[in-house]
Amino acid sequence: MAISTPTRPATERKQTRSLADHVLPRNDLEKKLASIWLEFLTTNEISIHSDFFALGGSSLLAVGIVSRISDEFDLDLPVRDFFANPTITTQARHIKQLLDLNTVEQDEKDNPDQESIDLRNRLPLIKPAYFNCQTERLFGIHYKPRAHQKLKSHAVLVCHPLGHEYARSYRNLQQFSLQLAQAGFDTFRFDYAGTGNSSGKSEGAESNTYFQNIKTAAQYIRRQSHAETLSVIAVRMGAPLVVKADVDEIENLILWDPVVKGSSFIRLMHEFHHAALSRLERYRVKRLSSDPQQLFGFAISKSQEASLNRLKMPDFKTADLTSLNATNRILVTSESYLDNEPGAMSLTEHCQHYSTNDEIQWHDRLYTESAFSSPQAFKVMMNVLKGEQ
Amino acid sequence: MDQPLVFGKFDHLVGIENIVKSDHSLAMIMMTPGMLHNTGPFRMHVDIAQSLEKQGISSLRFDLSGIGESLGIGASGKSIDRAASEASEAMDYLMQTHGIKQFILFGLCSGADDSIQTALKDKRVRGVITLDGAAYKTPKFFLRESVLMARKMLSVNKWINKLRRATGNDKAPPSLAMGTDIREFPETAEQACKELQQLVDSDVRLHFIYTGGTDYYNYARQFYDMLPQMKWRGTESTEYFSHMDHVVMLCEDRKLLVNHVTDKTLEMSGAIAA
Repeated sequence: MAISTPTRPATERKQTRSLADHVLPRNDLEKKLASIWLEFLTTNEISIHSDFFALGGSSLLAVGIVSRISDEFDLDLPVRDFFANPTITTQARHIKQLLDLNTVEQDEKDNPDQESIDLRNRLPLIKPAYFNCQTERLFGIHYKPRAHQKLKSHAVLVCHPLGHEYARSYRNLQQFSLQLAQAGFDTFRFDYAGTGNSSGKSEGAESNTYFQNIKTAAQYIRRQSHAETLSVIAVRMGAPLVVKADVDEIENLILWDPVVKGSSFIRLMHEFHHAALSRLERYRVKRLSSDPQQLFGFAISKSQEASLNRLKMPDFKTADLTSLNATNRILVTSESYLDNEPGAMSLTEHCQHYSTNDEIQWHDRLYTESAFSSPQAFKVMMNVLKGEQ
Repeated sequence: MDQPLVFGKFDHLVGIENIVKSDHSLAMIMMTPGMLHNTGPFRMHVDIAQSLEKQGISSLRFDLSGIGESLGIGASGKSIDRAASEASEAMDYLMQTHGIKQFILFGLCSGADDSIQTALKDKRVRGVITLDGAAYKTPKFFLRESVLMARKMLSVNKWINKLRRATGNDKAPPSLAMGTDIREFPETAEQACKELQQLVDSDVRLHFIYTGGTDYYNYARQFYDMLPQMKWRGTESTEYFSHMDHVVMLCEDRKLLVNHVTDKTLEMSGAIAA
């Protein structure tokens, strides 16, 4: 997965306070790092113990910061070093090691293990598990708020996209899950049958399988969290699947850049697949369409393709689906989504619509392997879930 | 059967183990491929785990800290050393929980670099299989590359792309422009030789797979040409799948690769047991 270069979120600066003790940078290195972070983040002040991603940072912003740090200190800093050291204090310690700095300062007397323990304790509990759905074992991960994280008795079920969009959005959704849990929401992401770490063959599932997967996942997180309220965030193909899955008693149904017609999505995948085989970008020689039947990286059966082709967002006025009885129906869209997703405009009439400037470009083959940044969508969804929007 | 686990010094690493009850002598650990999470590209690691399970070999795939589901909590150290340290934590877990004492590592992209580094630091690693690991360009590489480039120039798409670039029509929005990350190859082929020689002399089994999807490897014998000083002992092997891309997108390619990795793991496993 390629990581892209950063863009600064187009939101106004705000004062951010961490749940952690607010400690200002203590030495020149921490001050320099904080000033670099501030160039990219929308906050005025950074505690040395604040997690970059909890401050609204994204993978893409991290790439920009890594580039600045590398230039500033004249060192090779892999991006994954940033992900592993997401606070000013851990990053400063890491850079000192790389630069082999031996000056003894106050912060170096700290116990590095204790810093990691403190940081870990500020992050939510992570509970990966398998749960049964029909004949398959589905993998899911529950981000459970800690006691100090303002428990809300509100669970959030995140439904991933399908195909290559699953990989494109993976890190983004993991980061948002962490943020949600830190805000007190029990958050649950899972892999549909035949995707990710769940059992089953990629070509083995049809729409009905995914509907049942979503219903079972909703029951699972309700049971695990004992939450009184359930909200659902459904991304791309996750959206029509959730609506048709008929999950009951949803507080907020958040459709994020939803696929409106399965047939359009499948057609797009065929275009991407054909381009990947025929253009001399991925391969040194042209590849022929091949056996088994497959679509842009995954095997797909004829019946599976037919069932996804038939899938579409229902008519919200007439459809008798309990998912649509959600207290709030929210549509969150990224830049240029409405121009490119056939039939999407009609959704704006039936949902509270929040348009963002986040650039994801689902429909452009140039970005099929690009991670993306969505600070505005995160902000909108967090506020909706908190009832502050 | 796949089972999830959280492990590591700070309970921050997430992985999936697939433990075969009948044989606890050896397991494969699949390293994190670049910035992708533990399933691997297009579920490659899931397929490998299932294939190994059928052959009676246990496996574990996991996310390095800050990637996938594993949490970045300031585990310090140079990136590649930290990866090696976390791989050792995975070995500690398998040893303490299941009594497994010997390991074969599999790694794609930076996972390949991490696998070699881990083997250099941890004697429990008895075999390494890399996919698109470190390589160094040779005179023959450059010659072949110029022929390939000439062939590409005949492609209509190539000229369309050039035109798009010239007119600025393919300019990516800043938030989606492709970025690059640093691969941590040994700085020189000589340094790589020194490290590989250490593994060969320690009787670590090595298999190096390359695809046509990189910009630094383009013929089958390049591996041996780029490391002329090596004193091999016949415990290494190499394979070049010129038709494959770096992330092995096509199902038939993946099937070939998964079978190949499974066969090599079985071969290594037999040699290690002997």
